[in-house]
Amino acid sequence: MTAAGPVEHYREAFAALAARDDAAAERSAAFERFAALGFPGPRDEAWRYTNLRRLESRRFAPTDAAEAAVVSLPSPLAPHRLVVVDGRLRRDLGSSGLPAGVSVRSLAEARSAGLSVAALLRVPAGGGTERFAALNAALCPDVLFLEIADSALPEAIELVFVPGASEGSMQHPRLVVRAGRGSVARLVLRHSGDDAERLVNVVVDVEVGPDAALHVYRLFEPGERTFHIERLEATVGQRGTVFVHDAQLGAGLARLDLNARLAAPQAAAELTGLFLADGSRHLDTQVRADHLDVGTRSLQDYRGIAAGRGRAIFNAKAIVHPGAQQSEARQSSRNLLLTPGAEIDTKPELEIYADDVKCSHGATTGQLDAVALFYLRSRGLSETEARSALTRAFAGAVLSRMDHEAFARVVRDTLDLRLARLLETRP
Amino acid sequence: MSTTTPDLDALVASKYRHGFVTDIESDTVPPGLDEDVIRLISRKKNEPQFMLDWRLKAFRHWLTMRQPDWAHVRIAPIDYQAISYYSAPKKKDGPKSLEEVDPKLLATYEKLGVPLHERARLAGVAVDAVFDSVSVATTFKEKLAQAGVIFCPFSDAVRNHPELVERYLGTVVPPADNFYAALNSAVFTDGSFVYVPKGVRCPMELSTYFRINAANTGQFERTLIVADEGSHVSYLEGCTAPMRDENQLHAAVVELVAETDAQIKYSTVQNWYPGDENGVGGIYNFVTKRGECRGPRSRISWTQVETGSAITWKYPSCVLTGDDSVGEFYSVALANHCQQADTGTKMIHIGRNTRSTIVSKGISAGRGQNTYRGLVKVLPSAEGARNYTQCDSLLMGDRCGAHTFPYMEIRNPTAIVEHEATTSKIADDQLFYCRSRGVSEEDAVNMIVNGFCKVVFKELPMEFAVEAQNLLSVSLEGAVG
Repeated sequence: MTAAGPVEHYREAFAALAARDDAAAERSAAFERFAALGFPGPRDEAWRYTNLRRLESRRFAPTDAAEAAVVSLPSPLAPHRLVVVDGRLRRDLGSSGLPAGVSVRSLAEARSAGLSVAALLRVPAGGGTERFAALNAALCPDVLFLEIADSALPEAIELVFVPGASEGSMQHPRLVVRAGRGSVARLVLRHSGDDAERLVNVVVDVEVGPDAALHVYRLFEPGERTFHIERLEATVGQRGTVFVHDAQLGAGLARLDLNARLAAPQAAAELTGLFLADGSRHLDTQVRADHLDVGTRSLQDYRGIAAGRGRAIFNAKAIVHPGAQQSEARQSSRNLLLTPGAEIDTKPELEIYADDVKCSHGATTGQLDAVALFYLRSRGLSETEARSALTRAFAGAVLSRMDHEAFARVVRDTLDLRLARLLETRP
Repeated sequence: MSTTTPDLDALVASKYRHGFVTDIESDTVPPGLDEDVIRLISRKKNEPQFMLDWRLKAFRHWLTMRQPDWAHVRIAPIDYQAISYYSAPKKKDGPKSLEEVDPKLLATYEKLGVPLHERARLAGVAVDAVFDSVSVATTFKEKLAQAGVIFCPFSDAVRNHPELVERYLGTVVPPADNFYAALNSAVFTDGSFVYVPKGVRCPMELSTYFRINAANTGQFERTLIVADEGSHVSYLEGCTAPMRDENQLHAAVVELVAETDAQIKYSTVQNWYPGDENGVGGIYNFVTKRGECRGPRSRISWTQVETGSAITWKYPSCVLTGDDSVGEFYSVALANHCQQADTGTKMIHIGRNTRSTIVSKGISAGRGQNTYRGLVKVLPSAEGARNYTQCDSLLMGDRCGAHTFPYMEIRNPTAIVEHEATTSKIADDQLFYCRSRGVSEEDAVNMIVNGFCKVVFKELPMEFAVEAQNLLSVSLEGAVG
């Protein structure tokens, strides 16, 4: 393996944490999986644009403080709130109750209820982040198991992931969501954090039952020195739909693998979002839809903005597997480069092994339209106002899909604030 | 557009029309590769020392490289020591004109539908026909010489114009560029060399027919085309190969250099043996093609129709160094039966206001796997760069595959890069309409496929466009219904 050093570091951390619960076998297997895969080498296609050498060189300390103090929490976006600190649910910080039809359990509670620990700690196979998902299964202090009962229509729930420990720590939060048959639910997943350097390695494992609809609103705003790696894996049942609305506005180096497995007939996924790579942010987003059965549909639609020395990578992939006839896959990646020095690398990929399908993709990268700018200037808008209006309009197409009002408002406000700062400092 | 119904049974039975082996004595080196083989090749070609040194350097580098495995293709292991690296028809004091050429060779071209002497004159095409590894006949040399154009076998160029070869060889595709380019640099036996001097518009289309003949010989062509300031040249390349059961490796290198205001148009119709319907046999076509628009306002255009080969793995690319230079890529790739194609292009924008266009049409049928893989890279220096990419796939049958991997790496905010693609099968309503007008299903499919590819075909020189259309219909036989 290319990097014996860092792997050994994590092995020590793993050894120190071992024997916390009785899932030792699953956790060891997961760790060995991580050790076998190691850190990605320079020729690893899944990490073509993201170099983890800086991450490899860091030695993060594992945290398992059950009752660490929390600095601050953002104001709530939904009537119900769960707060996860360093990967553990803090019942004292969240709202008092959960809506009807929703339950939350820890790994121990799930096990005593007779649920399979192996299922809760399963490592999604393949992709560039399998290694980190395995590391998460080995090191996560607990599993947050959120269950939505069949036919339940609960109010929106916000899950806030915050780090409690300080500089140089690592967190491995793990969330498992099961949306029962016919249920309709909205989850806001919010990642925040301060300016300390840390590694946050998240796994979100989602199963959407038959005829269910699950909306996930992901608000991503960790601090500038955070290394954030996340695997969000959704498996969708017959006629079920998963909607992911993603807003990536933070972190120093972030990698998101967002995978939807359309495993039954007529399953659907809408994976949409926007990212803002300003400052020296490096945002690597890999979205993938696997069409495994007939009549499945997917939409991947992201808009990206890069400025300063920011770099954004967007890789969309739709795979229509043999036999998945009458599938429909649409991909769209639109990107805006605001200033010199920024970079956008995009790759909308299609792999198609069935003939009766409709697949399309489009990708563009460019700057603000000079004619439109001129028009707005001629109507009396200042250069900054005009640029800001056009940039917001560019993001607007994805924002308008975000049908959770409080979430959309925060995204819009944050975007406005950051764009204003960007355009002001513009030479 | 052909609306006659071809006799399907006959076509299925005959399948690969160009499959036969010509029985001429070949001067073949035993299989295997080491420095001695390279020295032997170099000696047999009477090459100057710099050429041998160049080959050996490439070979030593090749030894340190590993066969790449990133393409979306399945390849049976290749034993590079089982290949014979030199095969030349026995020379009888070297033919000076067509009359002196081995009649058996000429008959081979007849069978291929290339009546060299007649067609060449009628079409005004100069043909540098490569038979295995050595060029046998070159025509229209004098007419070209009047214009100052050098068009000759590569080995002649090495002997007669060493200064040009030394100046340009390996400047676009360096010997260590990739595994197959390094192998080619070490062992290439022949190919074509074109030099168009300043301000000259090449008086005719240049064309070469490559053929692979003797059993178990890989073919390693090296083509170098240099268009000096303000010149213009159009080069046509067409390929067929005899039927054979063992896989044959073909690793060619094509380098194009366009200086200021120069234009190069490179067209390919590739129809090598694709293997039978079970995937037995067929050519491995692993080619490195790259052109550099070195000077301002230069232009390089690649047009390819790929219907043959068991595995096609190539990316004709343009490095747009000169300001306002233009790169174009038009491609039709067909994968039927068990064929695999991983093809596309790279457009590297370096100069200001560089522009590129990519149009790729992929057709998959049977169990064929067709992959478009492209890179559009805009460097920070490429102010005002512009790219438009369109790649469409057509699927025929439920066991084939069509894949798209378009890489876009943009590092200049003034660049505008667009990519769009669709994948679908032939629409039932289109077929139904044609059938209702009395067109047979086979013809309807051919018409629709030809329409699908039209935008590429119109980029081909006329006689190639006709050939390409026919090729496509023949290659698709048995894929419908």
